[in-house]
Amino acid sequence: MLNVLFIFLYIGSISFGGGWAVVGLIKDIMISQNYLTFTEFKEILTAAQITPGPIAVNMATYVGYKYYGFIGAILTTFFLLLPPIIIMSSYLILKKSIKLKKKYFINSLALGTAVLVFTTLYSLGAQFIINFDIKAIILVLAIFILLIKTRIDPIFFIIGLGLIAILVF
Amino acid sequence: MTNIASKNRELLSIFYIFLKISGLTLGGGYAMIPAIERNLINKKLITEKEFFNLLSIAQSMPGPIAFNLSILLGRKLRGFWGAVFASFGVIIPPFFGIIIVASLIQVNSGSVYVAKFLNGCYIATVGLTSYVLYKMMKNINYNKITMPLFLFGVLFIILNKNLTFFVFLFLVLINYFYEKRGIDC
Repeated sequence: MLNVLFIFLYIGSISFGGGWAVVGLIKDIMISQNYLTFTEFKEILTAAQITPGPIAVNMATYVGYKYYGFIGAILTTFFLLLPPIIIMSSYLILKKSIKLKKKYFINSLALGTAVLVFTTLYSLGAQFIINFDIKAIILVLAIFILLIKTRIDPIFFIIGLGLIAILVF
Repeated sequence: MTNIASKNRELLSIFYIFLKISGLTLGGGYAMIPAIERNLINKKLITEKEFFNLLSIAQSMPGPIAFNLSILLGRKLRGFWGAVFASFGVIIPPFFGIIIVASLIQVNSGSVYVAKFLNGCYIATVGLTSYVLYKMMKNINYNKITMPLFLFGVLFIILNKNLTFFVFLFLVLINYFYEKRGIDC
């Protein structure tokens, strides 16, 4: 039990960049330490996708639940989120005493973030272009333009496109 | 002076906003970003500039970005308890969602309809992520080295994912000292 909690504490503290980068990390650690088989991992990935929220949180909850029941699920989720909670709190507390030219620092963080968003977009969407998946490319562009030009709630696109996909694909 | 009852109502409405967004955005943390942005900006709780500044900070900390963002936004809106209520709003739907699904997974993973539905959600997520990228790029103040740094960073991370955080740190520091130097001269 302590070992699993330590693993999630570790994952929580090195999971920079978010999303799929973390999924790869969890996969490597969980499979190499024999907590999950590859088939189980794929099942969890499906479960993580049909439930809302960050995938890393889904994975932590699932592994905790599978091995130690409800209390285990609470503990693994909590340990995954503990490092960000500690780091964010210390950032918010120390913010005033750090001497940085805030305007430039935020702008530099924005540049770094734009790079990470671009690489996320690349790892999610490059397959559409490589496979020349016209339908998907058109839908992506349509959503992009609608998001810029209208004030429609993005949640609508996610649920809506899911339903469209059942009918069209 | 605001009384305690209306303060509690505000906290509950923050909780509800984040609970709703987290509960309805299938497709992971990145899909939640534009949903949070739209909801808060439409309700005039925060400006676009403020939102993308906080997103940059959330991204530079470890942990799920939607969770980090909810703490920063909650705190900005209503202080410490705002952060607590917002982050609980984000965590509760995935937590109970996965526990319910974990008991039913055999039923769901085989269904063709579920696979198709997820495929649609995935395409939507790509669209939402491209929108986040567009907004992010729009909110940067550009200098001479911004675009070269951007291209350099993208190339390095695509070639080797293990370097992600170091490349991120490198870009932030180089750009920071470049912009600061520009002022000193």
